[in-house]
Amino acid sequence: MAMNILLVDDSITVRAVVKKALQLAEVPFDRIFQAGNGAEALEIIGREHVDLVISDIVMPEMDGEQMVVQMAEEGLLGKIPVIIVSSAGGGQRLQRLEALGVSGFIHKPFTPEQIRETVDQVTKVGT
Amino acid sequence: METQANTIETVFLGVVEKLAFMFGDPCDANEIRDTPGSWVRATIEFEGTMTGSFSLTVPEALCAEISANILGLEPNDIADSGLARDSLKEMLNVACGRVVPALQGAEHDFDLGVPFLDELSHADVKELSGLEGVTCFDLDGSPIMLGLSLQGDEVC
Repeated sequence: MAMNILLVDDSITVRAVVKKALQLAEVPFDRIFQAGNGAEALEIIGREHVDLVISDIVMPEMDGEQMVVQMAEEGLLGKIPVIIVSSAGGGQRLQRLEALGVSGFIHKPFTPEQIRETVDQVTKVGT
Repeated sequence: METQANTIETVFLGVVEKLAFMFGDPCDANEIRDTPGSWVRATIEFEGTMTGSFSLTVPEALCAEISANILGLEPNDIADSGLARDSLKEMLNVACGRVVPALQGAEHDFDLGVPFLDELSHADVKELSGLEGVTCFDLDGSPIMLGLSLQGDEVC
C-alpha cells in the first residue's frame, strides 16, 4: 500500500536526495511531505495523515531527537515509524532514540537499496 | 602507520565519490592561487573526544556541479544558488560525519553542529591555502580546500 512519507531535514539537498532514493528504490508512496525541522514536522503530523517519518537529527529550532521525544510523549511513535538518516554519530544517542521507539537508522551517505531495506524493515513490508 | 592527514584524505575522497560521484586527488596549493573569482566556504563544528571544526572551500561555480552530481542532474539544471550552496554544506556534513569517527574512534560519541557558509575573496583563499592543516584537492578538475581546526590549536 502506498504511504504518505514525511521527510524532515533542514537541507533541501537531502530532502531531494531521499525523495529520489525512494523513487529509485521503488518504495510505494502516495504523498511526500517536507519539513525543515522538528517543529514543522510535528505541525504536519498534526494535520495530515503520515505513515512514515524519515528524519535528520541535527537541525535548527527543534532537532530530530527533540521531535522524537515529543512524538513519544504524545504516543505517536507506536503509530508512525521513524527512520533516522543522519551524519551525526554516537552509540549513546542511537541507544536513546531506539529506547524511545525509533525504528531504523541510516548513516549518510546511503544508497537507494539501504533506504528500501530500512523502510521495508520498519513497515514490515515483504515479511 | 596511517597519519591523520592520510585518514582525512582517504575518508573525505571516499565520501565525495559515494555521495556525488566526483573524484579527487591532492593537488598543489598553487592551483588554488591560480583560480581567481569568488569562493564559498562551508564550516561545521564537531564535539567528541576531539573538538573542532572542518571547513570545505570551493570556487562558487563548483557548488552547482556538486549539487547536480548529488541530485543526478546537469549543472545547468541547478538554477537556484541556494540549492547549490546547500549541497556544499551537505557534502561537508556527510564528510565530517565519517571523518570524525575515523579520527577519534568509531566507539566514541560525537555531536555535529549545523553547517554554515561564508564568502571568501581570492586574497582570503590564497592566504588560507598556505595554512598548516589545510589540504588542497583537485576535484573533477577544480581546486578545493579541506581544513581541520582542533580546539586548542590554530589549525592542525
